[in-house]
Amino acid sequence: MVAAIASCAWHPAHAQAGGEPPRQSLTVSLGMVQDTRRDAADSPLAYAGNGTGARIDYDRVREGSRLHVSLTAGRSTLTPAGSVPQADIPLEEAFGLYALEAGMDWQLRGGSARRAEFALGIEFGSTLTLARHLYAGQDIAQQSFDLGVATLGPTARWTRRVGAGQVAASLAVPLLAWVDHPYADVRFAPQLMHVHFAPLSQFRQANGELSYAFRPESRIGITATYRLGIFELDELEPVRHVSQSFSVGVVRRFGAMP
Amino acid sequence: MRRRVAPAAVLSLCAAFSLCTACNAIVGPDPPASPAALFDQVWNDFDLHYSLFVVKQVNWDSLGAVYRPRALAASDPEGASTVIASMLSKLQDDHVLWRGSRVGTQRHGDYFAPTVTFGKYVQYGGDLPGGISYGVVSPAVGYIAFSTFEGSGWLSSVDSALTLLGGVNSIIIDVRNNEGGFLENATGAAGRFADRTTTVAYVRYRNGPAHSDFAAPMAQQVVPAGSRRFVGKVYLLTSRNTISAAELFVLSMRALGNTTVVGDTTAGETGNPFARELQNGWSYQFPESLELTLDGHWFEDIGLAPDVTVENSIDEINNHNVDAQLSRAIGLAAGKP
Repeated sequence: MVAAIASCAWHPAHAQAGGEPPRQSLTVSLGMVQDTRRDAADSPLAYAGNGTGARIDYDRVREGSRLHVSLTAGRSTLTPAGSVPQADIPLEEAFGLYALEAGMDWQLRGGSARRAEFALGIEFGSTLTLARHLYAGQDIAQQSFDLGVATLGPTARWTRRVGAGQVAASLAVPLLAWVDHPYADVRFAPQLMHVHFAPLSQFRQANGELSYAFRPESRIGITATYRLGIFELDELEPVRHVSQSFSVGVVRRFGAMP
Repeated sequence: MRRRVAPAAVLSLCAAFSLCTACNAIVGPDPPASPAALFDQVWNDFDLHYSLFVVKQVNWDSLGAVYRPRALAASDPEGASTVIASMLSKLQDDHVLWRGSRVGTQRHGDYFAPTVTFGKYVQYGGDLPGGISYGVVSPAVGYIAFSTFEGSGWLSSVDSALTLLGGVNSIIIDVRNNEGGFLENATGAAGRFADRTTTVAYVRYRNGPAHSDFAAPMAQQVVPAGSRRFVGKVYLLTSRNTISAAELFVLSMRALGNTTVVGDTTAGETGNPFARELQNGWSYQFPESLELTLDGHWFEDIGLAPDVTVENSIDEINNHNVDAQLSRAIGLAAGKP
């Protein structure tokens, strides 16, 4: 994989064209998110629910290489995913997800604007999830269960013109991960934070994205995106989390147009 | 052709979003709610998180071995609930709550609330929201009773009491029948008597699977606070019914100086509660921390000894209208050794 990325870097598809000016775009998206999670440090129950999210994407494309930076924020209200008929108290969580991702990918040779293009790259990701377990009417009003993850791994991206727009699909699979999964509630004990390296035997994550950009040649456009993220951490108190979102964004493009 | 593609793409994305059942499959099913599974969840939860095994010296493995067969023999979850409550009661910890009820107690002997304070010893001033009563013993000596440290907005009542007591030189603070509450109220109240930020105690949180796994001690501090700070002498009345957050208040006042603790040893019941839930929705709480004095010793099941030991008796209070502890504090405030 590393060799393939390096090969692409050394032989970018458009290098022969020489001096191609960069294209940049800024996308602001709003949408709905759905989270389903189980954190054994928090509860034996899986919690699920819907909420809203926002995302800002910046892309810079030049000579077959693409720099990508994104900021994501989402909030949702979670309740037990399954039926809990004997609950002593109302069960609810306020859940927030905040992510910063930055990566580079390099287009493989042979692509063109009209045909399918394929690119490989590398991405750094950092995600912080904040789960506030709420106890309505109890002397303990809430408990906080946080999870921080920093990852590094390869990405693959495929694009193709479809109709008047462009479809893009991408997949990121982190191979290196540093995790902060506090042992228990961190309201009063920030020192419970414990950053450690999580090997692949314990950590698995995949983030996929499918988007459709309407009129990609115009300076201002619309894009619709579906994202799916799967996270699994197998340790003493395991975590599993699936997040999906659907968003619509406004794109402002700068620089040279295709 | 082009007109059909875009709507189709959008519809496809919407369809993909609706596949939430797949998400549940990835996260996996909840554990079963059988008596055995419920028992195992509770036992394991305590094993991983309960902070006071090092103090209680309870063999948790043995308790599990004894009680698990009984839970398995239960015909329904309610039967298992009874077995679990019996097991938890062996911890003799008032901070363990099983489905909202205390299942263990480690109190030693009978406790009572003195009822002769106002009328005989203190000229009643009034009651304030949050279970605070105040009055004056003399123009120079004030009296405040904190019956709890529960409640939001509680600290404003402390400010009111200090304002209403005006220019007294010393105050007797009574926490003899205070079962605790919010730690921030305890340290916040102490902040009304502080002139600088002061470390008053330490707390260690359980952070690993071994019963002795704890994070580094975290300093608990009192910060000067409140609209009115009292800088005079304080006499703090304690008893075996001074519990939990009230004991942090005792530690705080003692660390600030200028305070003499009078009465009986406190309960020795500490630990910040950790709320948990089971797969069938039952809830429970237990301590996840260990409170330490400034010199690094725990006082769980031991209590905090007063500077001046005075024991009350029910007979004296009920039959002779004598509150020896308060009487001694008043004497000390008046300069009588």
